[in-house]
Amino acid sequence: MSLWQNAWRNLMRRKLRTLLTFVSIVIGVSATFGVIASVDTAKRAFPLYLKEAFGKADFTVSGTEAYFPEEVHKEILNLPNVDAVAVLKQSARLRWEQKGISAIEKRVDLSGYSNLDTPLTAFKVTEGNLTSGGAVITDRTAAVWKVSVGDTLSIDTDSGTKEIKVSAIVKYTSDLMGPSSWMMAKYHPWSIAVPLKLVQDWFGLPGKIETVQIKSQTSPEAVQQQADERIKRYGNIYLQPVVIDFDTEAGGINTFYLALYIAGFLGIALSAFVIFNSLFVSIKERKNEFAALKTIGYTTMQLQALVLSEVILLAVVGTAAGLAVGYGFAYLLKAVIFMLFGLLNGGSMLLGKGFAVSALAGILVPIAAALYPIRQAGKVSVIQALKEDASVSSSFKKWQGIAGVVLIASAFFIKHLLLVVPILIGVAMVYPYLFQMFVAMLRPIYGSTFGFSGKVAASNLGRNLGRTSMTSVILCLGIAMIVLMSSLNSALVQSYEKVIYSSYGGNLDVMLHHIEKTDLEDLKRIKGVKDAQTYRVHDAIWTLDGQKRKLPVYGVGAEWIDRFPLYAVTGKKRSELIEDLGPNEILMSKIAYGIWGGKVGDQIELGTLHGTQSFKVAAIVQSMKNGGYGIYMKEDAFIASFGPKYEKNALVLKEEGTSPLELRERIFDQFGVRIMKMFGPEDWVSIVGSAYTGSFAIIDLLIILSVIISGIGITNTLLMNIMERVRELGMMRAVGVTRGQLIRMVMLEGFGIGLAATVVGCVFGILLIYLTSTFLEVNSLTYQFGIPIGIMLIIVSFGILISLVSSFTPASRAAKTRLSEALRYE
Amino acid sequence: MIKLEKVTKEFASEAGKFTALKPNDIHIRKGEFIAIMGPSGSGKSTLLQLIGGLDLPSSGSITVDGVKLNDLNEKERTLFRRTKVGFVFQNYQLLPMMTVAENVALSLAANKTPKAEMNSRVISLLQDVNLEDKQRNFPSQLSGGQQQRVAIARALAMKPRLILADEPTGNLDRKNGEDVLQLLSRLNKEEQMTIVMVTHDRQAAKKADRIILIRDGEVVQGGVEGEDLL
Repeated sequence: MSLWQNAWRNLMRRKLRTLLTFVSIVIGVSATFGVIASVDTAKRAFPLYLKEAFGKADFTVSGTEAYFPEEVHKEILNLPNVDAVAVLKQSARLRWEQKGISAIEKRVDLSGYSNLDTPLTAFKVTEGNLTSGGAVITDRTAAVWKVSVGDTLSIDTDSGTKEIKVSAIVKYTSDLMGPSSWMMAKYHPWSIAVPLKLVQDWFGLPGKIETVQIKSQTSPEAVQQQADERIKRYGNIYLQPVVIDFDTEAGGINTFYLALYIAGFLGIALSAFVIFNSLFVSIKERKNEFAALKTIGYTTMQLQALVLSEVILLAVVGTAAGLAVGYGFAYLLKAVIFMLFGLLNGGSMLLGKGFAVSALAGILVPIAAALYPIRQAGKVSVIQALKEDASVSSSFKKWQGIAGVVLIASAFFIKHLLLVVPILIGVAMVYPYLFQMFVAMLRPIYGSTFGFSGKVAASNLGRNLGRTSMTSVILCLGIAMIVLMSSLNSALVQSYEKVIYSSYGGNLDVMLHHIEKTDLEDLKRIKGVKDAQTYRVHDAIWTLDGQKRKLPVYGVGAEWIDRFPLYAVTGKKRSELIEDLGPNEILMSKIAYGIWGGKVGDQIELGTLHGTQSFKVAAIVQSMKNGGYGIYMKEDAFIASFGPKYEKNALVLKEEGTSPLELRERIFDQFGVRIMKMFGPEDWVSIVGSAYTGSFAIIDLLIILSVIISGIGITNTLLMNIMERVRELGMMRAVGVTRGQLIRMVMLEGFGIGLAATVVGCVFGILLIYLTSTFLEVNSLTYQFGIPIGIMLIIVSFGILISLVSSFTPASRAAKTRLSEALRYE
Repeated sequence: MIKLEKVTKEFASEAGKFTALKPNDIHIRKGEFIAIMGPSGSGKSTLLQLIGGLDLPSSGSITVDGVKLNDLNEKERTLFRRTKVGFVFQNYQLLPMMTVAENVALSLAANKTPKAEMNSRVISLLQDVNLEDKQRNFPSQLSGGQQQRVAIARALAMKPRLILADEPTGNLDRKNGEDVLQLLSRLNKEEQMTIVMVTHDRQAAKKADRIILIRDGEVVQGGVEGEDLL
């Protein structure tokens, strides 16, 4: 018989144990493969997506007035090696005859392009064409509207109802962002791209444009210089490079990737535990076999090869299945990551690294986990093995406990999320002691609560302490991680919510194309509006690490900033901070400060109307206004440096009892299509909340997979215990212990393993929350240490449920033990 | 006390059906001390298990102390074992993580006997087997003979009228074996307990009132009174 045939037969001797070990390898490998492949794909896709979405142009030309002449576009088109497109955006309203759709849901942004088919628009046509002069909508919009190419759209403009045929349906793109349903249209307008000429005609703006987007076919620097010279003649028009805000767009994603890696690592590490456990017992129960083989001349090496062949066979089959499952898992994870971070098209999956790492891990981790048991197999003593009932003592080495404590203590000095690694290893090392203490405390409770079954179960928990505590620690680590991740999720979302509401500037930010003199008073008169205030904001350009970046600058008035708080400070009034600012001084948000890397008192250089200008950073403030990335300066200094003569934004405070949606609807009724955007703090809370909850949901899913592995571990251990104690069980049944009492006994053993894991896991989870709360910043936002009772209760219930479910099969198997067979073991 | 009529037992195995016991009639009176002898694999232990309600016969009927075991369901058989039968095994089968007292109290605890009553019963049983000073010890701290005496005390806990002993001296040296047999004999004589003991040991069998000899699953001698080897 070949070595592999022999290995296969040995594995098949304990089918259920082999199956459970196989499943744990599959879960470990698939989690590793899924995490690495999806993160690799997302890492590659993110910058590509940002480039595609926001970086198609190299420069934009804007004016300090609302519009500027179309000739500017023509001038630029005359430059060599340049693509340019003129854009004019206006808001309108769809004429849509359908019951139940309110006026606010019919808002539509019309973007007029001088040419719809250029590398600057880069529309990907799925139906129709871009050159026949009709409307271009995205496939998402077409699906909600249920329209196709050739259908006519009616649009209400200031100069009456206009009709236009749909000439092309294109893939969803950031240039034509729109809601995904009529319901979402209450919050965001639809988008349609049309020829520039149409927008100019419909809105009475002949020869006017708003921006020109420029793409250089050769050197951007040369184009910049030439374009600058051309536009100077027009005055009040300026050229800005297009920069992609990787910092704001990708903020927090690296922390998320790291958490994903840790969760994936946990999966494979826990699989290793299960494999070790299962092999260790397998070798123990086959001691007599090994002894017999030794007596007929098998060498230590040959015995070790026997066991190794079983491990390799199981690892290879498990890894192959794990890779297949992981392939599907990677796609699923990728889809969720892309959805969460708003990536539209990531291209193909990057599978190479994930495949290689998980395949290697799937083979090597089981072999590594099996090294000690394999060594034990070779060391079996013939005389010892043939001694019946040799007592098994499980003693723990002292150094193990000390090393565990040291590792846990070391985590107090690590100010990085990676501190979970020493903590988890440390917990695994001190766990046997904790488990022993827990069992000692459990014994009287079990005895008094569950009577006979409880008493025997508590005694049994003290046996095979090494194996049982190892099984329990697997669940404990999973529980600790779930506690950390779930609490991080809720704490971060709550912290965000708090900062967003305290720095949004009011209940609603209304953006009009430009605000006219009477608009503010009109706004204040709307029912439900308590107060309103206009403000100025401009995207300035600054250079950091040799790269140009956008930095929103807010013009702030000391007289209104306390009523309309755009940032939060402690110890001082917001207005005092602004009043104290000199003309070339600014306040910087904590998020911008984190990216900048300078310190208070240093100067930053920003692109202004008058060229590059230095500003002193006077203080740091906290804000989540529009992502929390920005700087604040006095209004008059702002106008002098950045110039827009008109304002676009108005902050609104609502009366008590007016709902955010009512407020939006009433403001829309007043200003109609002039409104370009309405955004409230609840929108940000919902965006941030869903992104974080979604991100953590993926991590939690991975950890739950690990906890399922722990459940498998519990089942495995209990099955081993039962198999070892089959004679005892037989004796118990013989002296009158009922099946029910036996089931309760085994269930209580499993429950005890799970309860210890859950309690200790929660304690270490809370320690992890505390430690991470002392340093962890996501998007420069820290969170307060707190124990979320509701979440803890759910986790405790989950841990207990897992342990009970895992104990069920062993318990019913114990009850079904055939007495005559059990006692025949003699 | 014990009546087996045309009792057979078959087991299914991969090789097919295996007949462990052929049709047998056995009658045992109340208070008898019976030894069952026979070569290995002859069906001695199977017979003992059937009498103890650990398993059911493939055919035939078994009546113990007026209770027809064939008519009992699983739970009723468990309660029957708990209250009517005491088992003693060759390997003692003590639970290693429990003290001597806890082992003895096992069936009392399973029967939810009040604690005070249970404690006094355990002490009295341990006195009976001369081990009252070992009640807090663990099985691993006792000699083989002492362990078997604990097992006998455990078997007596629920005051059964029938003791089924499977090779009770099989693991013991002559001295300890003799002690255990003395104990069983005393229980038989003084307490009028019915004892059925499976043994290979002819000397041990001599303590019995009657020997039932089994060969290839068939009772060849001693099934009913007057046929025995003694």
